Amino acid sequence: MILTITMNPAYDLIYWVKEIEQQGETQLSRAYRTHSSAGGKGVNVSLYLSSVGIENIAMGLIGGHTGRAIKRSLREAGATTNLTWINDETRSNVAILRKGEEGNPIEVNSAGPEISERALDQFLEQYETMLHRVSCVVLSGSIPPGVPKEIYNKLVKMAKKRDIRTVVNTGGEYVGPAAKAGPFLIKPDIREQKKVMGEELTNSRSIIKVGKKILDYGTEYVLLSHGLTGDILVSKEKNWDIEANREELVVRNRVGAGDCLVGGIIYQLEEGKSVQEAVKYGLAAGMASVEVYEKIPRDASLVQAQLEQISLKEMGDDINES
Amino acid sequence: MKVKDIMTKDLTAVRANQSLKALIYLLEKSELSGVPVVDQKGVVVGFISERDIIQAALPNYFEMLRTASYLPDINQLSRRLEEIKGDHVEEYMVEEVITVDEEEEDIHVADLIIRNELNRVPVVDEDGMLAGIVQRIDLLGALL
Repeated sequence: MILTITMNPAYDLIYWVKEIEQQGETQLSRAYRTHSSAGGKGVNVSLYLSSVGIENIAMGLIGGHTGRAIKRSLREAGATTNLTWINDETRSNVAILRKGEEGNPIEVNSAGPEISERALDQFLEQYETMLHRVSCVVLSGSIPPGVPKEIYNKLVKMAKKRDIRTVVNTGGEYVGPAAKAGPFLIKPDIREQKKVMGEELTNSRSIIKVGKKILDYGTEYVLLSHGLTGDILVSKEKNWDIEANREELVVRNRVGAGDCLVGGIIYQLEEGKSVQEAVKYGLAAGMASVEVYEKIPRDASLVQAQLEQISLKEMGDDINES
Repeated sequence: MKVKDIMTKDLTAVRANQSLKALIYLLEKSELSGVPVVDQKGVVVGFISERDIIQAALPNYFEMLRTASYLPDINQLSRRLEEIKGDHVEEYMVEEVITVDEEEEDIHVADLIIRNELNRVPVVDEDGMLAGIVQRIDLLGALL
């Protein structure tokens, strides 16, 4: 059983527009397509896992109408829920995808509601209980106001104490504390900032360098994406370049693509595949997600088609690259 | 059909050492009328509902309902709730809780719900851990 943690879930509202025009005093656009769904990185992983039949429990802090909508979406998808209720409304995140520029969306994300000490204590008690029944914990996304930025460090350590595999997918200031707890795999999210633990990520050499730095804390694998079609997997012994040969990816919606990647990895690890094969499949799932309007690619043949375009090759630590 | 195919896969529960205040908060926010009580591993050890809270606050109320058609003083309930809000769930929960195994056939849980006039039955796995809940509406939905 997989446990996904989303400390700061959101209800995703995605709008596809042709253009945004100035009309009088307002910049206005009519969406020609919309999609709304439960969101937040861990929630997306749960939605993906449920779509491929992997039993999972979704945990997170929710409140209000949007919180109820998230719970309902997760249930309808087939995920088991164990959510912690808060006083305030769960946030909504908005993505605007302009025609022809779908790969470069306008995203408006709020910080999320303030979490009380009582709610956090309640969450931690539920988390401790869930650790008695799961084999893997996926910790994803940002941390809402009121929750210590180091929370992933604590949650990873609690899981490791029970010999439970942990996977972390987060960005910015949350990467360092999480990495220092030594999760099994960490995927720093570098969409907003191409910098991890103070190191600029400019090329393969810098990606491997920062990956090795994280490994020193006890992490077994570090996965860093470069663009939508390539990942570098760094481990103590070897590194792998996982690259899609496909040049023209049709981007329809990239919201949730990274989470489908993580979901694909977990799915394949549950099927007994090696980490590098799982990452290859994960990249295919992420790319398939980009090519459909919904966040989750429900047709396995779409993932398979992407998989055939992906190569996996070993890399040394010392890459000659400008 | 098996119970696991019709149950609501939700693990909302309380621990026996939580306060009634925390329980009321949970029931209000989650819009549930009752929840299973679990131990630290998630094993079902009881069940507690709104009815148990009212019974705790006004032990004679349900008896009174048989002879009177209204609650004579709402402040009485409010005062009593204030007095017992810090009490632990374990003091008022039903310990001999009816549960059903997730591998049982749906007819079994239908029989349990009808025979015992239950709204909700906790579903447990082979280790007795909470796996979900079957509500009357789950059964009706599955039968349609």
